[in-house]
Amino acid sequence: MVEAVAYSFELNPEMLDLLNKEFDVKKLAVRFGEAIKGKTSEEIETIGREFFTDYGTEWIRRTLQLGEEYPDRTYEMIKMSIDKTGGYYRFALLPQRFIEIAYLATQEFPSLPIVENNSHALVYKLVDCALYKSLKEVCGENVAAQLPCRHSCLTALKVLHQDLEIDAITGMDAEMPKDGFCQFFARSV
Amino acid sequence: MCWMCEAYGEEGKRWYLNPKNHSRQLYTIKRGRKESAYGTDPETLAGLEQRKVTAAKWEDPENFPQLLKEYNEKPREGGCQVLPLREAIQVAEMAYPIASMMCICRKMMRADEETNPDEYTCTGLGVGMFKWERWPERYRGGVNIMSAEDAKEWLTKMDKKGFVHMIMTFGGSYVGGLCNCDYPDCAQIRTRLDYGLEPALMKGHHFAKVDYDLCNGCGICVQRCQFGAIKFEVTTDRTNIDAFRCFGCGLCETACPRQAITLVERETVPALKEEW
Repeated sequence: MVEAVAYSFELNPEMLDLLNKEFDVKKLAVRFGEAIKGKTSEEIETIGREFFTDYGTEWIRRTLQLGEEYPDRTYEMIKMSIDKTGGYYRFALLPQRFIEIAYLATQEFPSLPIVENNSHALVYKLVDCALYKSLKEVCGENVAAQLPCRHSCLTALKVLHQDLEIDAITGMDAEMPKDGFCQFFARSV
Repeated sequence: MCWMCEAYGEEGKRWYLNPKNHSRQLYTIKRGRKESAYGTDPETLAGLEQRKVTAAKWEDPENFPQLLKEYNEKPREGGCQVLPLREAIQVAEMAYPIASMMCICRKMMRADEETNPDEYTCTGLGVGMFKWERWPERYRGGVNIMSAEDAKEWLTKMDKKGFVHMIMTFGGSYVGGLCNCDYPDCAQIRTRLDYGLEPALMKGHHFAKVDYDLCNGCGICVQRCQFGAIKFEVTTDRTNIDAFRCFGCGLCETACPRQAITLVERETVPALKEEW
C-alpha cells in the first residue's frame, strides 16, 4: 500500500522567522539613521551605497543558505523541472524563489508582485516597502527620497544571479519617490 | 474589440500574448488571513452560475432564453478563447511553466482517462503546475513539464490530430490552461455550441477564408471543423466557410494541402468585429 505524503508547498515559517530577526528592516533604518547623523546629502549617498550594499549582500547570501536548508515541495518540483528540461526553467524560477523568500521574510506583504517571469526576464515590484517606510520615519522624507535603500535590492539581485551562476543583466526601472513603487528586473543574457 | 484584450491586453497586444498575464509569484504567506470558504472561488462560482443556466434548458425551458440573455450580458471576469496554432506556439514561449496533463472534460464526457504523457491532450500553464499534487484526483498520472521547444512540438502534434486550441484564465487575467479539444468532449465547446453561453468560449481573433482559385474541393477541411462552419458545396465543387460560425481555430488552414485557406483578422471586417 502506498502511503500518502503530506507535502508542504509553502515557505517554512521557521526559516522566515530566522531571516526576519536577522534582517529586521526597522532596526536597519535606525542603524542607518545613526550612521548619517549630521552628514550632508552627498555624504549620505556615499554612506548609503556602502551600508546598503553590505546589507544586500549579507541578506541574499543568508537567504540562499536558508532557502537550501529549508526546502519545500514547490522547490523540489522546480528542481525536478529544471533537470527534466535540461535547465530550461533555471532562469527565472531559481532566482525568483530566493527573491521571494528574501522579501517575504522581511516585508509585511503576503506575496511579491511578479510583473514578468519567463525564460527571458524576471521583473517584480515593491509597492508597499517596509524599509522605505522605516527610512521615512527614522531619517525623514528627504533622506528616504534619495532612496539609499535601492542599493540593497540592486545588490541582492546582482549577487543572487552571480552566486547561482546565471548570466543576467540586473537593474531597476521604477523608483518609489517618483513612480510610487520600485521595480527591479533581471534579463537573461 | 475583444473585451478580454481591452481588460487584460496591453499596448495593443492580445491578452494571452501579454507576458504579465503569464506571470505570478510562487509563494503567498497567509499571515492571519481567513481561508476562503469552499466553493467561493471565482472559478467555482462561475461554474455554478453556468450550471444554473444550462440546467434550465431542460428543467425550465420557458425561462431558458431569458436566463441565457441575462447570463450573456453580465460583466465578465476571465474567460476562454479559441486561438490558432501559430499563436499557441507564441504562448509556449511565455507560459512558465508549461505542462501536458490529462483532459478533465474527456474524463467527464466519456469516462475516458488519459493516464500517461503519451495520451495527455490538455496543457496546464503557470506556477500551479508545480503544486499539482495538492489535487491528485484532478491530475491523475501527474503533469509532464515541458520546455518551450518541446511544448511547441507537442502543440503542433495536437493540431495535426485535429484538436482545437483554447486558452483560458480561471477567474482573472492569469492564464492557467491551453486546451486541445474537440466536440463533443470539450465542456467549453459544448456549453457554447449546445447552450449558447458566450462567456464559456469566445471566438478567436480570426476567421477562415477560402481562396476558390486554389481550393480543389478535397474536403479535408470539412472533417477538421469542430464548429460546423465549413460545408462542401457540390455545385461549385469547392468548400465554403460560414464566417459567422467560424471560431478562428485555424485547423482548416493548417490541414489544407493547397494553402487555399487563410486566417483573416476578425476586427478588419465590420460585420464580424463584434462577433465573439
